[in-house]
Amino acid sequence: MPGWGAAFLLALTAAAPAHLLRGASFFREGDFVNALVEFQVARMRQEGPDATWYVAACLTKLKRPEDALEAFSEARARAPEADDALLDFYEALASHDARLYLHASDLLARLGNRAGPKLAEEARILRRRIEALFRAAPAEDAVDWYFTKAAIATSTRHFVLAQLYGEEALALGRRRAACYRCAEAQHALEALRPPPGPRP
Amino acid sequence: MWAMKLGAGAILVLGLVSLPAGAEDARSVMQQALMAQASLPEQAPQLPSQASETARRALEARQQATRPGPPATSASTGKAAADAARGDDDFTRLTHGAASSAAHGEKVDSRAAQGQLRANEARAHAGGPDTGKGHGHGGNP
Repeated sequence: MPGWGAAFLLALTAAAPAHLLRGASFFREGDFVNALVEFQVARMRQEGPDATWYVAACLTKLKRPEDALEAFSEARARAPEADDALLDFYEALASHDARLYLHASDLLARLGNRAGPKLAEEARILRRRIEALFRAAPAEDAVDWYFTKAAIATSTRHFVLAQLYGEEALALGRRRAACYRCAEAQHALEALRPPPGPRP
Repeated sequence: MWAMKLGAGAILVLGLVSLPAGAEDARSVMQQALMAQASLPEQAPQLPSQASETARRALEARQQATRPGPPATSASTGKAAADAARGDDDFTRLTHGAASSAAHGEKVDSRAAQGQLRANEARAHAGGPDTGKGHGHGGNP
């Protein structure tokens, strides 16, 4: 019987979220590469619903914004309950680095009362910077850039990114007097949406 | 006998209690870490420009073409630049969008996976941090 108990205890210890803890420790020290490895292992071992969110946060700190945005999307689909204001702030940072400024601004606006005073202040500063960028209507040339990014993301089957760049192109196009390429963007975004009904 | 059963039961209960507690510890440490590492971007936001992006890619293609090496390289780079230049047309031709994400449901060997991932990350970061140009999409000058 003691053998059985010890074996059970060992099994439980092995299942404890050791990689999550180690990843968090690396992250705190600013060692984002090792934190990323630990969180990726934690995700594979299903140590908890937070792991994918933390993978995304690591990718943000490692200046891999597009990978981060895909990870945030995956995290939201897998574990929406683990989302919080801090993680939304990191997603906004990744969006900012990917030049998805309007998407970043939306995320920051949604923080609202969920953010503490320090985070709220940083969000306010970042939103002000983004607002300054849009005092004038964006150039057509800039909108074209987002179309190109969406096209490349689509051709490489990065549909999350394609949607984000497409939405940004549409939002920017709407800021121009004649709604530059808006119909084109809407058509492409509709095509990106999965058909309604249960998935196979 | 009953004492042994009681002991095993206590161990079991302790183990079960420690699982969520461990996850809670990790969350608590990570919340502090996320807060400590949250910093505003150093670079001011700047809208990209398609013209400068196309010019940059064309320049890259030309530079690649003048470098010694198999002719296929320069040809493929030139094609990539041309593809990128007309990428907007591809976007409007989209017809479907099945989300691309594979669920990692299976249990994995921790050390083997860790070794593999560490090697991957080391390769990914060998040339310094990525500058937001993932998936070979290229960035903006």
